[in-house]
Amino acid sequence: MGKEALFFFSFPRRERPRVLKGFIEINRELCKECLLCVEACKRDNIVPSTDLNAKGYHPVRFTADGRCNGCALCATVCPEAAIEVWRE
Amino acid sequence: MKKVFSRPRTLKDVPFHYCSGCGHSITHRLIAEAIDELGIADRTIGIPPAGCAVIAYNYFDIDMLEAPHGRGCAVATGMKRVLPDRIIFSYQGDGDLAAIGTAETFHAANRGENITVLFINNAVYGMTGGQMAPTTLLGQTSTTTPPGRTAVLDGHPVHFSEVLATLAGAVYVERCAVNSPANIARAKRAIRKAFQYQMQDRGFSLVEILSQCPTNWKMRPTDACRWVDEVMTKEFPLGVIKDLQAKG
Repeated sequence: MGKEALFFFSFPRRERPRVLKGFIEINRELCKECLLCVEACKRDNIVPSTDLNAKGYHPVRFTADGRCNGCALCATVCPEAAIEVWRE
Repeated sequence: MKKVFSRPRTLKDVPFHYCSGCGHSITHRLIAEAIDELGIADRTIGIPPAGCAVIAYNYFDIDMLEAPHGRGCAVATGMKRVLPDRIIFSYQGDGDLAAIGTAETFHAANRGENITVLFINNAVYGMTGGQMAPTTLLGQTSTTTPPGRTAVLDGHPVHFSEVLATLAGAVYVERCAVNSPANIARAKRAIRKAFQYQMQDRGFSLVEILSQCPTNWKMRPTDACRWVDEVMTKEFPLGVIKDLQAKG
């Protein structure tokens, strides 16, 4: 079984995520913790974190639980253009 | 999987110096996307303002020429007349365009110069520390109006886009915001349309962009975006103010 499939079947049947449709990559060094992407994400896939980057901000984190559909709303609002989006 | 969103090519790989959640950086990206989509990067010249965006030339991979405070439209006029095949845009804030550069902007619009002006309205003087600008709302606190702006002492906020829309030379005036995904998409369409009008030699086009300034409004970025929606757009309603071409 592939990695994505293993991940998919690791959940109980009811809580299985939708099939992975999208994926984002956040450039941690560019993030300035404005949290506009957290508000924009309709599926709460982006969460604040307590890590630090070189500028002293706490960059947001992407939770890859398979619910991201690659709508790119987060990248649209990101002032730093720090988010890249892939979609199937 | 294929990549559907990444940093536009015209935007250099340089981190922005703007504050967290600033509308300037969103607008920079929209301009870069519009330039990429129209494929005009090699013949576009931008004019950064005095203000927060004063070093905007560090971020765009196009020709940029700094203008003195408020004189963006005057410099753009000269450049467009010497190089009529270039796309000239001037990027100006509310203090730059509506206070110091009122005369230059007004008369450039009146002459119908074939240039594009991007007017970033954040209701304060951002770089100098949040003083009252002509566009500051009534009751809004700034460092020079600590109890809030009053009509008696400071006058009413200036609706500069509406003023310019009354001039015959202006063909396209629209007000947008960059506080939500929907508004950002609308702002991008407006910027692209303004560039297209210039490419078709139609005349003066201006896009006003309501931009959040979390630092000087003393709000969190998310609250600032909400404030634009709840307070600022009541004073400055969004939408097309003038579009001569749409009527035919």
